[in-house]
Amino acid sequence: MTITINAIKEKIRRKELYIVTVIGILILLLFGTGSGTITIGGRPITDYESLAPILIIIINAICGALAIALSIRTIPNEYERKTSHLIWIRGVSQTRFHGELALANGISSLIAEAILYMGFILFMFSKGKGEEVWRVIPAFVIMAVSILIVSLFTSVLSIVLPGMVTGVIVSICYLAGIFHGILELVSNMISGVGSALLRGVLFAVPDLNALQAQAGNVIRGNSIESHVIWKGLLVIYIISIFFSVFKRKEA
Amino acid sequence: MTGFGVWRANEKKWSGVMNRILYITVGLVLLAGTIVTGEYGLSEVNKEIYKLTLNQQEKVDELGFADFNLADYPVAFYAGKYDYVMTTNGRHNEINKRKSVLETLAATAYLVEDHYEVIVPTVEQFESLYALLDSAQNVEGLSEKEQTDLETVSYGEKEQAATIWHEAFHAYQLTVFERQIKELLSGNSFLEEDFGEGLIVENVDSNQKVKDLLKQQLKLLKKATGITDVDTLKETVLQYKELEDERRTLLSEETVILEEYYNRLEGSACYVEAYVYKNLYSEEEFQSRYMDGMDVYHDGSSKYYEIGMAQCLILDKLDSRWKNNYDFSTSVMDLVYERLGISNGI
Repeated sequence: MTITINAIKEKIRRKELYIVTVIGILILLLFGTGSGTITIGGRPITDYESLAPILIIIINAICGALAIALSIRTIPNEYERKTSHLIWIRGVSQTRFHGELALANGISSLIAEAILYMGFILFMFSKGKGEEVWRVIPAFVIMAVSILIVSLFTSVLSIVLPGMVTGVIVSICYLAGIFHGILELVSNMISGVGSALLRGVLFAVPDLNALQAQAGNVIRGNSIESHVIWKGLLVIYIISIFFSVFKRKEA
Repeated sequence: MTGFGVWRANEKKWSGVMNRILYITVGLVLLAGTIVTGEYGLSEVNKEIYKLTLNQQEKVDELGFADFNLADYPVAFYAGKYDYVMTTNGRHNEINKRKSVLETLAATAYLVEDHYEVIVPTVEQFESLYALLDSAQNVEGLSEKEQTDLETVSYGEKEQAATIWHEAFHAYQLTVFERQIKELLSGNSFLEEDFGEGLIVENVDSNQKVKDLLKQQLKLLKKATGITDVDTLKETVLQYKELEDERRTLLSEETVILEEYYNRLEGSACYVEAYVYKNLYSEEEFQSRYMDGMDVYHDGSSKYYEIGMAQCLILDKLDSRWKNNYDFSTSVMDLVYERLGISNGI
């Protein structure tokens, strides 16, 4: 775990997590204090019941983007600075090295998520929903599955692909993941090559939208579909296998 | 190597093996959890909908369309890649899975090999569609009136059952009255080539004079459905006919044929659908969903669904047994004129 701890410490040193904290506070100030509003159909939405699901979607979208940002450079940076060689001479395998760095990415992303969710908790208190705050914890855990998928997928691709290519692929997959439900519907509405292509993409990309929906269900006190969470955990497991498959030539 | 060294080497080796076993076990547990919690095949809610739909047969029999049985037409639930085709022998319902024949989201009666089948998306797909439309309209911004309208088109099990009856009625029309429908179309192929909608938009919706006349007719139709006195009804129908005669002089022959096709086939299917809906919900819900907005003009072919339904409802007032031998070769409105003793010469 030494590699993981050092990687997290570096992220703190490089102020990446502070930036996340600032974003979290900004979101809170924007929507929680009444100085900013979301409008639908020209009408400002300020009540908790309408605002909470929208805020959750915004927070989750930001968490995913931050998970990509926090994970994309960690492994390539180690190779650029040649610090990886210091690890090899101590007999640490590439799989373990990459795995620990990816774990650091995952933990950093979860810290970022936690900061943003803290903002949401304060928003709940500000709207007099203090007694429902406990629901944020299971919602956080469910969304953590989604965040870890994004972070680990970014980490695993960053082993073998240049940063720009990784960024583009992960961003496309992330968008396909959060709009999975809509794209699925579209794939059923169209026919021919387009439909087959879209179905292929949807088969390969995990349904992050379903995970987000479960987190929303917990916040609203509705029942959740456990299958979605099991599937999310299985995706994390499958991604983890690639850490022993993908190797860097420089090693 | 000393004894301690060998022990250390063995311990390291075993630790590696144990880690692998643990890793594989975690994978197997996750895989098992995913499989066990998943729902496969056609969901229970769709099977229940099929049962609910079949249970309406007795009520639909009361309408009187000869030989119209839902059980004669397989109902295929389109679930993306596959169709789940449900059939019944009266006692048991059967499900067969096949590669989807339509490969698109649509509720329709469709020729599969040598017979017509009802194809409808699963209720889950319909719900997603409505949820998507709901969010899309929210994003675009709606007036309060429009939002209320959207709420009334929410979709669930009973709506799905009514839709299945609508499409089953088309399967019945196309199976039993194929010749009469071909004669009605008089060799026009606009429906096969999917020109129908465009033709209505071009010749009806885009012609202000035609549109204005039809708007007046819609109001008269709605009024007529609420009249019980025959003399008052005749007066209203006469006003309707005058407008219809004037309007038809402004339309091409093929547009008149197409309008009549929609009125007869879609209108009567909508009439059956609305009847099932009323039985599943209530008179009030039926009024709210099908009758209250009847006088609102909609672009495209959808207005004829309501016009045709209204014509059936008016004819019911004069002769509820008209359906016993109706074969779609005659306009429903002509039957109304005949029952009211109105001459139909233009």
